[in-house]
Amino acid sequence: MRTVEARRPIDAAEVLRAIKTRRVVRDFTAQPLPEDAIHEILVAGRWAATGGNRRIHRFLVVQDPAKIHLVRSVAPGIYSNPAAIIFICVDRDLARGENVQVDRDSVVLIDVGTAAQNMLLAAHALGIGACPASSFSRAGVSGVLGLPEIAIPEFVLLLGWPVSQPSQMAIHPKSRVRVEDLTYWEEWGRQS
Amino acid sequence: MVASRERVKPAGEDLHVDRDGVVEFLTFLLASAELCTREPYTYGSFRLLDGASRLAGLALRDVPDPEHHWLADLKRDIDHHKGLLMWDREAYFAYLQEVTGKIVGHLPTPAGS
Repeated sequence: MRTVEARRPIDAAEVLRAIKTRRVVRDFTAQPLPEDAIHEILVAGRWAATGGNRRIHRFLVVQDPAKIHLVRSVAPGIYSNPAAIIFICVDRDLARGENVQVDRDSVVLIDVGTAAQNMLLAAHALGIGACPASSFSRAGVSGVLGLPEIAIPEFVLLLGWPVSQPSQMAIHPKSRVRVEDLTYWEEWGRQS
Repeated sequence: MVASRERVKPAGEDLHVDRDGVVEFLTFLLASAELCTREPYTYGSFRLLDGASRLAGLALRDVPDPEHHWLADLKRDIDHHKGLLMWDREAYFAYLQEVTGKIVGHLPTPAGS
């Protein structure tokens, strides 16, 4: 029987380290982000798993400070000043073309989550701070960005250079959970 | 008598929020009202606390030497504590119990007192 070690196609330690050391960054410097870094983050989102390999989402990148200011007004969940925002939107026309029922199919939001997590990890790997935000008014965001009716903004990713590196950020013991607390084996409630 | 209920602000101190600030804050309130219908109930208190910080920030825009204004101290204090909701709810609730006490000393005193 092959060992797990022998089957590893990539450096698992580095991937796992990236996953474990990622933190939500809410305080950003005023420095802009390089275009190639934003592109790398978008590529990571593009490579996310999607249900049925459907591509009914679109990413909208906003870097204009004036637009970011307007978005902040309709997004109470944003209380920092990011250098860039990536909106993950569902395109209703594309969804219709794929026979996806946007309001009933949970995969629509799962796909948003997989893209978002890939982007969070890519940002972390590039040393860029990232913060997911879902506390925003969809109508408000659509209004300030002039989105067409077919575009539904489902997720906001704030990006910027972090004031503090994640490794220097405070750990809050009260909020820590162990994997054992999250996992049952073979039957519901069985922890070992 | 109306006059007996008038209150006096501390001498030399005035605070204003301009037109853009008013619209910005109204937008925040309206968006928060929408979010409160679908988010955890404790977020409602968070939005109010964050709103207080945002209003303080708007009022500080036209204040000379805003960094040393008492309202800036209050805003910094709120911003420092509001995140407690995410990792230490008891400490967050304890902060809510004390934060109002930090502003009452700045209420205008009743006229004639």
